[in-house]
Amino acid sequence: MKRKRSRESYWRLVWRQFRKNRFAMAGFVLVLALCALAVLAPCIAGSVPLVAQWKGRWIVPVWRGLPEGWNVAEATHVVMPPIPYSPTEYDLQATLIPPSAAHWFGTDDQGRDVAARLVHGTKISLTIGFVAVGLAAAIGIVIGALAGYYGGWVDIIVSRAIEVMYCFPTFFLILAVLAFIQPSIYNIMIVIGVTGWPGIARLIRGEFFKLRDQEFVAASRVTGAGDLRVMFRHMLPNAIAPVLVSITFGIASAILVESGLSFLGFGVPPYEPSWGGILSQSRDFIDIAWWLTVVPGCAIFVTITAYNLVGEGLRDAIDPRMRE
Amino acid sequence: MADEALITMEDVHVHFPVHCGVLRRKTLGVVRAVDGLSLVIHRGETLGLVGESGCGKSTAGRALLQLIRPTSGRVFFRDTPLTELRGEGLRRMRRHFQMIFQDPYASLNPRMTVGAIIAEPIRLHHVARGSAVQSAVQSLMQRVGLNPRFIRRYPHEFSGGQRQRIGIARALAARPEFLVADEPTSALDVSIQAQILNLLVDLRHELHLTYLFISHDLAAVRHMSDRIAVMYLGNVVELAPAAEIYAHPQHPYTQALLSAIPIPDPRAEQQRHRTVLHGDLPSPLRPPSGCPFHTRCPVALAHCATIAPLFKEYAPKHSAACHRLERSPA
Repeated sequence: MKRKRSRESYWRLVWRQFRKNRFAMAGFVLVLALCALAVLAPCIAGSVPLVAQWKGRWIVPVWRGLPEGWNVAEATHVVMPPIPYSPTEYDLQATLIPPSAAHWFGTDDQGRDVAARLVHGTKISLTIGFVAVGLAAAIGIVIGALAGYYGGWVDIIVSRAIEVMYCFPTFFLILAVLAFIQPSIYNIMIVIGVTGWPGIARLIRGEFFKLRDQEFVAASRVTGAGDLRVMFRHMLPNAIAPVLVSITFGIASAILVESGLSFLGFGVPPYEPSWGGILSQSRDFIDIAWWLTVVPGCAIFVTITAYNLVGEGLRDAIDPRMRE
Repeated sequence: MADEALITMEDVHVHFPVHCGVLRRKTLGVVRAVDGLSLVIHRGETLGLVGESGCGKSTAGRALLQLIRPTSGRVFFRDTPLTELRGEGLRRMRRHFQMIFQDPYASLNPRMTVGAIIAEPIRLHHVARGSAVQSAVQSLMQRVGLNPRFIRRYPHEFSGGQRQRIGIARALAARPEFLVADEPTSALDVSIQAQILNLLVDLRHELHLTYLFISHDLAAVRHMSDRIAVMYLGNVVELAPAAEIYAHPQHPYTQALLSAIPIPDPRAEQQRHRTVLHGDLPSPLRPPSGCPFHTRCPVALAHCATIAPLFKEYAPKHSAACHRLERSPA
């Protein structure tokens, strides 16, 4: 039973393994870029200047909002965002313009700039992905941990609940739920979250079953640790790695579900610039305005691919058999 | 040493039901891992518990610590019935009795630093608070022979022997009076085993500890123990002071065990009479009737198969369970 004595912690080892995978790294960089895009959305696309000199002083309207009595004509040194259109502002004089220098990705049927909507849609898509899966993970981890730790009738109840949840086609379950509640961004996040836990719960349950009979778990019980402490301080850190993989894939699928919902008209309200929403509105113009479907379609495709690459890379990196 | 009872086990049974089938669970039977064990451990002594693999000695240790709840029977720490405590009450009692585990690789949480592992019992039982925790951990590490500078390292950065020292430091952290050492050296290299055993002996004298030393290594048990209990199929068959049991083993099973120890002198080794047991340990799922040892006993009598012998004191402080002793008291 000789083990290599290395000074590396587990996660540093995983990171080193992950970095070797070029596709995974590409996906990871892309995900980071998308997050940056989402956070910086108002600086990248908007009708409000980034900085300007007005009445003799420098102002940053994108940060502080426009001052009272603002008039573009009076201002000097106006620096606009690279995409100088707001995602919600419409211009009926400029509808369905194909991609050009002024409108990189063209405009939609109400003259809204597609590029601006796309950038602001990133925020919605990523937020929904993270929050929904975060909620699903929180529920799944707690339920899975309880089932795996206590076993017995707790496990029987949880396992049957997981099977029942699996039997429902999730997408239609969400559709049905949204028929009863107001489809806002928050409600969509919650609904995707509370329907997404069974996969994670099952993973954690399995990991806990493996860990339950390990000596270090018995050791922590002997020292006088309570059940919750044993579960979440001792077992969970040893069970979390496969869940991270599942979380990564979960974010991708939550984004896809949101796009699907918005496409069907059950998603976020139409004025919110979500990717699925743009797709949905462009359905009627598919034969005259190709950019309306291709652009958000590509955005969804690229994002899902990036998350899946990260997920696969992570899965390989935590697999001890992949190490040499 | 006054014979003050620190741990008392009264008729402890640990039975594991064996199921089959998924939907309609049928109970095939019960494994009687520990079957009516009674044992008293005196304050300050080391009681060695020996027996072959699968005889239930580890289960007995775990049942004592309430790590496995006994199916029936009672366990006392001084006058406190541990078997009747649950939840918070039992957790608070745990500071008095700790355990050293067999496998130093599996018994340390791979995601916690050495410092966090040793500090946990200190914090849980409020032995020290705030910055005193850190210094308590460091002095414990020093005490068990670890460099306190390694406090932030993870278990995988240590060798087996060092890991076992971490396990010992953790067991001592809550300042217990009683330790169960469950084969603490059997996973270690031979050269390391003696170091760990000597450390345990030193700690015992220094901290006035009481040990239940579980092992199948008869030489180690002899080195460590004041009294030795020999276990067979879930129960003690012989119990005597260490020197006495090695000099005058009464139970045929003990005799067979002792004759399996090689003597490091070829001539003596050749001349001595060896009792060789045939067959395997019977399944604890279907223990033999009568004396559990009769299936392998070289000197079994006719009624050994039907009547279980009583565990009785045949010489001062020397007890055994065998019909042979009934006829010709030692």
